[in-house]
Amino acid sequence: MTHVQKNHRSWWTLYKKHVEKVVLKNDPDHPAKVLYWRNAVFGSILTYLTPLSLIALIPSTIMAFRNGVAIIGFADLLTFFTIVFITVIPGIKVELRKFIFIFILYCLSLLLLYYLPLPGPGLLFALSVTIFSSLIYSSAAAYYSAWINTITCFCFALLLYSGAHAPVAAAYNLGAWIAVSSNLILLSFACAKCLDLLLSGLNASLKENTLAEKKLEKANRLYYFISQINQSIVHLQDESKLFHESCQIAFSIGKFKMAWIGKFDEAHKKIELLHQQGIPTASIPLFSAYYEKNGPQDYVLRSGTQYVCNDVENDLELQSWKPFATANHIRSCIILPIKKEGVIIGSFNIYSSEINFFDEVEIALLKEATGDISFALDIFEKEKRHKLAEQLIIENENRFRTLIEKSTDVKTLSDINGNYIYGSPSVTKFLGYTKEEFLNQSAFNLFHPDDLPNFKENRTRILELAGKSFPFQYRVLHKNGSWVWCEGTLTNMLHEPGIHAFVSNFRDITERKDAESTLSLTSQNLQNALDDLQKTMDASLDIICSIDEEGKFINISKASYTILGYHPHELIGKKYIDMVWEEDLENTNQVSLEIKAGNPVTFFENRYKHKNGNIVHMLWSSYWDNDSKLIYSTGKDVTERKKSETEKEKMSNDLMQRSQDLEQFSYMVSHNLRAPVANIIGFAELMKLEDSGPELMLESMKGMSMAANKLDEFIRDLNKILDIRTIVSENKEPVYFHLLVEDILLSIDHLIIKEHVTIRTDFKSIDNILSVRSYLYSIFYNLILNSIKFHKPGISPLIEITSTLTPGGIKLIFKDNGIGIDLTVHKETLFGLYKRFHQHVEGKGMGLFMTKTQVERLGGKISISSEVNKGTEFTIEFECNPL
Amino acid sequence: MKKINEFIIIDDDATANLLCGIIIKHILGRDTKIKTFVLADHAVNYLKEIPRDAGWNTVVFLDINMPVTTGWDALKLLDKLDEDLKKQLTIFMFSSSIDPNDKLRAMANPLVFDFIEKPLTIDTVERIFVH
Repeated sequence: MTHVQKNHRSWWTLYKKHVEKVVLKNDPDHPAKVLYWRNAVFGSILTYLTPLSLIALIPSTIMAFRNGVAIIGFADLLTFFTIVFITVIPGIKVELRKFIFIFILYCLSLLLLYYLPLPGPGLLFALSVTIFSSLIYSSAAAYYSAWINTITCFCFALLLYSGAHAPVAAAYNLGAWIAVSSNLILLSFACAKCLDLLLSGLNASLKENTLAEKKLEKANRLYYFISQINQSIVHLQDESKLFHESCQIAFSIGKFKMAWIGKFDEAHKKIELLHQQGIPTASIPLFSAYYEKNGPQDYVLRSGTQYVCNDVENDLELQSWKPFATANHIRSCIILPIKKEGVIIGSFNIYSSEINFFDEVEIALLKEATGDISFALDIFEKEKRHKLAEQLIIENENRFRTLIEKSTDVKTLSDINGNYIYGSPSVTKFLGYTKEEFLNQSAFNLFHPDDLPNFKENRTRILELAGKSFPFQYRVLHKNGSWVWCEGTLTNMLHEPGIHAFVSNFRDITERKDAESTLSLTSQNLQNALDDLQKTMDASLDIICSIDEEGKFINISKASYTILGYHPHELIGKKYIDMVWEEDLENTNQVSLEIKAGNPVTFFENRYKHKNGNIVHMLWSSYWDNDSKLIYSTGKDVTERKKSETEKEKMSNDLMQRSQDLEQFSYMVSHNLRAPVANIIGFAELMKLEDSGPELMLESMKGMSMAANKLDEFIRDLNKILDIRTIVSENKEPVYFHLLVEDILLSIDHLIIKEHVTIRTDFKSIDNILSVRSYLYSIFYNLILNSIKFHKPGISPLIEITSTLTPGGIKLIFKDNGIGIDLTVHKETLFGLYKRFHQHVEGKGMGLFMTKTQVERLGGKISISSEVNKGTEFTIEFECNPL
Repeated sequence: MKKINEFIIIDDDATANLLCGIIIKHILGRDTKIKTFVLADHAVNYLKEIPRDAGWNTVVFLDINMPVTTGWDALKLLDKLDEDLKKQLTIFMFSSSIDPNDKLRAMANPLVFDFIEKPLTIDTVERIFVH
């Protein structure tokens, strides 16, 4: 039985499933929509109608054929099979099925009305169409169907009225029809209306249901969002990570379009993007920007509350931001302040793609979430500070401990009865007791009997004075029985919370005490030794001194008077640098730095100013003593030695000059003396020839004579040179430059006229010199003649002679407008003997050589400056005093 | 020795020039072509104009100790002449100097054929130009 029933049910289930599949196939509608339910109803109607319609079909078909209305029988069968067809055949759209269903029912209704003498079945079908329309189409369709029924009834009324021969006319007269059909119309409209009311109620409740579901989902999402954020807060301990997570959660769990956290920089009116999710990469830079005054960010910052915009597109305040919002489908936004310890530090920005997204509930939830973030920030901050404080405490404690334990001082705590309750580790070092041994001791047992009364007295004195202390120097008993001199203080800290003891701090001064006693013995010896030392110092010919860091004399020996002209008492406290010769200042300072850097200096030479203004050359040896912070120096007066050195140098220079002169002389001899000799030898050879005729003989004689003359001339020159090279023996006399020039001009009068020479002299500054007249004459003569000789062709020579006084003597300048000389080429050999530089002028090349030699004999110097085709200027400087 | 076309003597010492002329003409004949220059620059200018002919040979006696342009300066000027022309010249440094440094310096110069110590003697001329 059960089995059969099950079988039957499975058949029915299969059928139902099949109908559902073919009728409602591809149904895209959501159950929340009314249409879904209409289609479902349609499916159910078809499912049940097919088997149930058999109940009406079989009797009505039999009756139709038996009563001779075969058409009705056929119509019944057609309707049935059509319904079966649209119930089981797949591949037809649900709308078409509905249409076929309603259409076939109408057709059946019309046929029944027309062919049956009874109006019942036809009208019933018409009414059922109205009901079905309402169920499977819409309320409006039910009304249409009611109207169609009305029109059908009216048509039949017209048919009856016209008296046509129709089956229906046989059963009704017009009055009866109107009576029957008006009932149908009434029922049709009543059904349409009732069903309309019924179904619209259903519709409304469905809609409400959907909205509620949506809201619930949204609320769930937000709750989830908050719970996620809270979870992050619990397991994150870092601000940055929290921000990142919050954005991440808003984006992925809150399903927001974008979420970002920005940090305010109020000073610059800027907001800086810290973390974000959902912002297109290209747009990220836009989010770190200056925020507008009175803009949303500014509003949040100033008001401390959230900013909400539920319709971005139509918000006038957000004009500037709108293009971005539109491009990224942002419809509403909320900006919430993030606070750290009550101060707004940033904002949490959340964007949604839905319009009107942020209602009161959402705002409240998001505020809560942001509040939680702010709360977390506070906690982070507190944590950080807490850690810092902890660190500080640990550090301080370590420092303090190190200070006490590593200290060479002994620190002890003793209670009101004098028993030790603490002793720093140095106790063992200084007094020999282990910690345990020491803590069993009483202060009264440890001090020397002679010191005890004083200790007791002082201790009693400060007993009632919190914080008071007294200094002491007592002997304390060492474990080995000896007495240790200790110096320190005892402070009353009995009232100090956490201490409640006398605190003593002292150190071992035994060594000092011993030293003190020996010191008094030796000080007299020391004084004697010091006096001896001072005497020794003062006996020295050299300066012996000590100088402090600033360069002031601390002590100086008496030699300062003989060397520098100052007594020691004049110098002590004065700076040595003030006496150093100006030119040596830099050098001396540098050396002093070196000495202070720890490098001893020996044989350092510099110059000092004697009290009388003279230069004193000093030779120093110094070193820096880092203990006394003093420079110890000895200084020797080397002025005399310096002088003789300078003289020696001068002498050796002179010797060098002489030797160079000699070399030049020998060169000259080898060339100029040998040339005529060689010629004489040559001609003599010729004359010796056996075959030399009278002609050759004559020529040889002539040549030999020429050579002999040349030789003679050269020997005369040589004599002249050697003459001036001998030491000036002639007496010096006052020589007047203007007279000298006059004499020379007179002697070369013809030349002056011939060459149109102009000579300008300026001896206003100095006109005379104490010198050897003949030499000076020769110098002037040679230079003037030189200028005339080397004048520019076609231009009259102009010679300017000037004398000036210089600090060291007299300077003479000879300037001409001649052809000049290329000094770059001839500088070296210019004043050499037999050197000539111009081809068109006669000369032996002796003039400048002689001039130079003479100038030098007179103790002067000659120099030249010249430019080709411009002129030449000779400068002669004599080191002598004018008359 | 190649055939000698002419002798150029560059020396500011007129007496020495006279002696040279006499000796050369005495050995090589009266018709020997000899030109003397007191200034080296003039001599160099003259040498630039000698006939260009590989067979042409000019012997130059160049004194070292001369004013303005010395023998050494003259050598530098001669060195600037084109190579072909230089091949036509046989240069003798010619000096009264007995300083060995002068001789060494002269021999070190590739342009210089030999160094002759003054006075020029018949033996020297015969040794160089006849044998």
